[in-house]
Amino acid sequence: MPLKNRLKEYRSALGINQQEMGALVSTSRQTISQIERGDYSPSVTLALKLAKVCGVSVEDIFEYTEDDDEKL
Amino acid sequence: MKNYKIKPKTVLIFILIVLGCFAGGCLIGFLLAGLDADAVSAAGERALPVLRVALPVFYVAVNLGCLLVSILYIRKSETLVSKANDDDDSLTEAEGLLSPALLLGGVITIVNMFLFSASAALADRFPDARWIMPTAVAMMILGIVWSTVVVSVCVRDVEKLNPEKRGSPLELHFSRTWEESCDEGQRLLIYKAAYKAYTVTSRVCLFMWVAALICQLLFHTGILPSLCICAIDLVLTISYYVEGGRLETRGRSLSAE
Repeated sequence: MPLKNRLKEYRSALGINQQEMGALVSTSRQTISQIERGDYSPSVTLALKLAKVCGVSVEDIFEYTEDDDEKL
Repeated sequence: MKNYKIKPKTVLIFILIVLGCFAGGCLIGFLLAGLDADAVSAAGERALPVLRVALPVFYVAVNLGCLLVSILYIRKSETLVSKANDDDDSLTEAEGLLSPALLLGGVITIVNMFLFSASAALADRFPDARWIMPTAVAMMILGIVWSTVVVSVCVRDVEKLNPEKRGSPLELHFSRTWEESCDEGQRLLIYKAAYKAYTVTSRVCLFMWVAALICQLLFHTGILPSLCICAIDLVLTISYYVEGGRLETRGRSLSAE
């Protein structure tokens, strides 16, 4: 399921690296890296934590796009 | 709730695969019936004097080679970390360089176990070749030592890059401690890799059972190889389905967090 995100932008705006971001949301640098690359879609809890740290809503960071053959 | 209907095409393909395997088995049986097992055994006997010298050399060479390659990867990773200056892409790349070293450290123990058994069989066959068993014992011990050191160094380097990770390969419950220190993303990675290992091992066991059966019929190796392979496959399958059933029980948390 494609889930575009702008986590890297918001993290850069905060001036912190992946390690520091991971520490703020109680997760690893590895997972932050995977999320930013689009290789991993976080759980609801982690997405909410990330949004809270960045000071924005979850929808501002993560954008769900439908494939052509996926219809709600 | 819709009833799930199996497509006729799926059934047809399945039947064709079964018939194909049956035909393949018949063909292999026909060809093996015409095989001179004594000639194959004789060829194997001729190779034994070569193995008598080559096996200990190979034993040492494979351990040294794997150790050197592991050290190279670890050094490369540590060099990258020291030059990274908090660059996230470099740190990710450095972590990726530890994977081959970890793989070699894990695989060499199993390879050493096999080579030790092979050495014991060879030593039994050539009692006058007194260098075979001492070499095998020495390489087995050294192999365990260096693979443990390599894995410990890799784990230490991973923990430097990910301070929340805990555990030492020297601990008894290292796997559990490590898993508990992993976050949701890392756990998902572990679980996906484990499932892949399960599916691959199940398939490999099937092919190995066929090979063991052929050897049993041709070379009278007995049922022990088949027994071992089936035991491994059985443990794998039962563990998977029992754990799956246990996790499906109401109240079991499936969250990867």
